[in-house]
Amino acid sequence: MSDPSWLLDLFAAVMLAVSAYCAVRLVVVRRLHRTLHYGVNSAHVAMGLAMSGMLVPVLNAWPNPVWEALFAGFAVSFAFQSASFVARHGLTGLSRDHFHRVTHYLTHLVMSFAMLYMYLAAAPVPAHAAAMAMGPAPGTAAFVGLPLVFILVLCASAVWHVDALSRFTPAVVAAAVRAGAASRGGEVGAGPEARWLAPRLEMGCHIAMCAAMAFMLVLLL
Amino acid sequence: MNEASAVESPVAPTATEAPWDPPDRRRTLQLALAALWFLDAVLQLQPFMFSRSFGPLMLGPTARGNPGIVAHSITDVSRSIGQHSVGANAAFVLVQFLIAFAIAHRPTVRLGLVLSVAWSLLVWWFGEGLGGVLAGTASPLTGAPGAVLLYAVLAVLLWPTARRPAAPCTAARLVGPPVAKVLWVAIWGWLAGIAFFGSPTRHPGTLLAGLEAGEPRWLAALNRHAADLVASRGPLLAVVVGLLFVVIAVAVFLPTRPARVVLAVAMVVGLAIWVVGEDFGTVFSGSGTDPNSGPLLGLLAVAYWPLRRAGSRRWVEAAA
Repeated sequence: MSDPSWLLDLFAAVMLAVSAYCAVRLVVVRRLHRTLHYGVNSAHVAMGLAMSGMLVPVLNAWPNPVWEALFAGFAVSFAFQSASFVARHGLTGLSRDHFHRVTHYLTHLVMSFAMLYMYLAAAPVPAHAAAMAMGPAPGTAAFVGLPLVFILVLCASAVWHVDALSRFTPAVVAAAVRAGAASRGGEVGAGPEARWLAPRLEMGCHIAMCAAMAFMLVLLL
Repeated sequence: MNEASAVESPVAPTATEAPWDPPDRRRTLQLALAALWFLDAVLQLQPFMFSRSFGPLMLGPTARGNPGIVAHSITDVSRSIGQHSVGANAAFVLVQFLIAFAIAHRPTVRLGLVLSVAWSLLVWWFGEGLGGVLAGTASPLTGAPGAVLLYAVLAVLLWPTARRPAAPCTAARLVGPPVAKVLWVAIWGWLAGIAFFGSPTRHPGTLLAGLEAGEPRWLAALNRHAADLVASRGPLLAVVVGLLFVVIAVAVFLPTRPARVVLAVAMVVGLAIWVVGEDFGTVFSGSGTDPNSGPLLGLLAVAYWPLRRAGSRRWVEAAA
């Protein structure tokens, strides 16, 4: 049984938009000489493209082994960053942000594993298919506990980000940018392009990505 | 988290910390409730829910055994949902996402909790047939008295209020310790009553064996083993489970340390029910719409977990 095709198209469109936005974000940050977590934004670009390709096979840009290698690389990278952050700062302490920071890397590690799982566990679909009737491949029934864990983490991450939205009101962010500019010598350095870096927009992308990924994993249960 | 705060050091530590407090226990529980609604919304996106069978095959049968007025209303609604399956299910998904986002977003948390109560009651009636309580099909092993009812109870108990900052537990912040205790006793006492006197708990073998369909092999095997284990011990199991629930029900009257032990037992019971009796809300069968009552019972126990207060030795003393 397959979902209504409009639903798959809708999720694919949202994922493409997320991917495009995160790519723009990478470019804008470079132009404005701002700091950014390049790894996370690059991962979001790749995940958005990959998921849209899974939902609508004609959008699949690369063969599956390429995606699998890419997400294995992201997983290793986030595992390393998680471990080094915890080694440097511990599991608790540092600041009121600490828990957020620890879970930041771990969440993206789980997302990378979830992408890998989807490539390895989903039944193959012909590339010319109009829309994907996504389902588990034979023999994966023994591992269905794994996607359930991924789904729970994604749901938790999504609501965690929604909770944090209210800390980034435009006024707060503008004040923070001014304060940061003052500490760098008074140059604000944020023109209209800086709007692309709105934290809440980026968090919205993460939430959408969590929803889409959880939806796709549910189809593999 | 957003990298603006994680990495962009000029942004994070200065202006963003002042107006935002990290979640306390009540807020964390609210977020857990929001996460469950989010999960419900995602599960509602499964292909079966968009099919014409969802209403008549999934909701319709819950009418069976209920009093006429309840049964007719469920049958009518399930038929309507079957006729407009795609639109109706899309609306269900949106409502559940809306509740999740509203609870998780701080400025709208009250709206989210109100919606949570309203939607829970609707689903309890039309989606769960009042949990099978009036039909005599309820068993605490399979989610009675209805998981959504626990969503509603939690939404009330977790209402954000500045009252009673020194309450003995999170659940007592809004309603006060006496009412909170009555609610706890009512829930677990009700479960005990269903376990003692409900027919399904006396035939647990049939109940558990019936869960196998559509589940992965390892979970079906677990169901089968559990069913074999209790098949001829129905009445004994009913008494043991009922007594266990009675002990849990009186936890709120115990001194802090034993209360914590019994609440921990309640969490383990919730987990056991979730795994063995509810098959994780049957999410692996493609027809699960929520994780069922197991995780909710766990959350409820966390909400009643005695908070550490200087000098308080009893749950009841701290309430005074």
